[in-house]
Amino acid sequence: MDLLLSLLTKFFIYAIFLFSLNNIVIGKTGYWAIGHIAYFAIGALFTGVITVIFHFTGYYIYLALFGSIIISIIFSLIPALSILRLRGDFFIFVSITINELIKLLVELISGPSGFSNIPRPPGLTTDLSLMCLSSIIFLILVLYASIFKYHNLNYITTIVRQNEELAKVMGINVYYIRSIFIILGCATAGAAGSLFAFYSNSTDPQRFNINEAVILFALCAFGGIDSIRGTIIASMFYVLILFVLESIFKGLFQIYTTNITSIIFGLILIFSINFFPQGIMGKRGL
Amino acid sequence: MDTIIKIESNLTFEYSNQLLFKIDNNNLPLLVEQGKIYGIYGPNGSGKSTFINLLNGFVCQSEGEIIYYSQNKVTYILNKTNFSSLFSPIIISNLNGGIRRIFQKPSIASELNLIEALISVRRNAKKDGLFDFLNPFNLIKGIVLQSTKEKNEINEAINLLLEFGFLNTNKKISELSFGQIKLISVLQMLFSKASLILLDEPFSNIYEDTIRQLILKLKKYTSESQGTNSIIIIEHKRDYLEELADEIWTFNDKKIMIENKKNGNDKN
Repeated sequence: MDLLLSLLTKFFIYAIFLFSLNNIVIGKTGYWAIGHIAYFAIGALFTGVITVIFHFTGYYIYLALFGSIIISIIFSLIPALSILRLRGDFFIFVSITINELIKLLVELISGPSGFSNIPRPPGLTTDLSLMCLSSIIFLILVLYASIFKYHNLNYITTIVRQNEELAKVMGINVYYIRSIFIILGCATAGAAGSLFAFYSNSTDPQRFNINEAVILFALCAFGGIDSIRGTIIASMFYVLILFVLESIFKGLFQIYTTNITSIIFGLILIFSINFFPQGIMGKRGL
Repeated sequence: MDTIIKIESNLTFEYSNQLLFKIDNNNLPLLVEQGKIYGIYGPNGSGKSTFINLLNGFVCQSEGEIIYYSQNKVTYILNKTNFSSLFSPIIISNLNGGIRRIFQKPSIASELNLIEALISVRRNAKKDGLFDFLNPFNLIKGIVLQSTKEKNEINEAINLLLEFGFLNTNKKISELSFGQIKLISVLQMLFSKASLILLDEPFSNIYEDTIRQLILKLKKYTSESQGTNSIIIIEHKRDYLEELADEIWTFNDKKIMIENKKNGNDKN
């Protein structure tokens, strides 16, 4: 039962993160933010700093959750402003660079193995309560996304994504619309990162490296870009695969787990681009 | 007649230090007035499309100013100093009742369906604010009650599409042929109610009878709106231009000249 609860919590946290990557950033702006995991890292790092370095206790720990959203928003201004000059493929480079820099920052602040023993705030001490909080956040996001397609902004984002010049001619402020979605996506990812730090009680920098970023991007392609069902299935799949691999290679071969996950997800990326370019649930190609 | 755009007589456009065109109109500025159709005529490479891009803010002139008016008030001045390739097109397309254009190569977001493609042109810029879409009530309003104005708009769009033979209005743009996409992009302009529409060779790749229909529609577009909407049109076929335009600007020999084909009396 505990195991199931733990897996479910992990699933919801990754679902929030994948939602921010798949349905907000890639889905609405059309830019491949491969290094989006940097904001996940920022959220986790900030939570670690607040609790381990500054020793916040009690209800003050909730500040970490809100603080990580704010810090993510501040850091998200880098990609949001860079889209003024860079478009399409170049955004990927910016995104990867941000990811690497943030990873260095994490290692610098928290040491090579990251923070450990991050305390949970009162009210979130059990896995059940953490699961409830993350599931509520995820449900709100899903509700929002499913209503969004009836909104005027839905076709505006479609036009912006598909044809920037056309959008400009229609008087749409392309940069504003894109920045908003990048900032929103980063804020959501920051919240997910903070929840993840509470969940795992640690911030392992290996969780935020480029390997992991590519894996999560592959999951988006696998689930289907901008598809809610795709996000849910992909995060479920990710959590299950990690669980299975970890239990197979338990003990002596633990170090192989990350390598094998990378291989598996690399293959998934290749197969899904070749055989279902729209993902299993998506309507739109990569 | 109110002026919408004044293009100053010293306007020149250079392309990699070579003169592409300048205005040759006895030191008088070129005026775009309300309720008129302007034709642009000239050989290939004479800068017709560049001229449209210039009016639309995509490129910048080397000298001179383009002044945009709304109800006799200056709303925007496009010159070398305040030009920005990122924001000028956005600002200009939102000026006075909206300035819309079509590209030579038709481009419409291919995921939209036909009705959405038309309605998206007549969008209200105020509705894309951050707080508007973060407010859940606005989102719910969107599904529960579609306002009558929006319903009227949708009916109008369906009627226009039916008139031009698009029976299945839920088709995606990506399912259409090249010519049909071109036609849709012209219909977008007709639907836009913008105060100025810039048409870059709208009749290429379109069936002759449909062109006749479009010409009637374009004439109606300027006359029906109490003479507030104007059109600038690039066309290679002289016949169509003479039928449509009140004034023809000829691009030749690196000069823009006015050929006053019709004057006020002829029109009546």
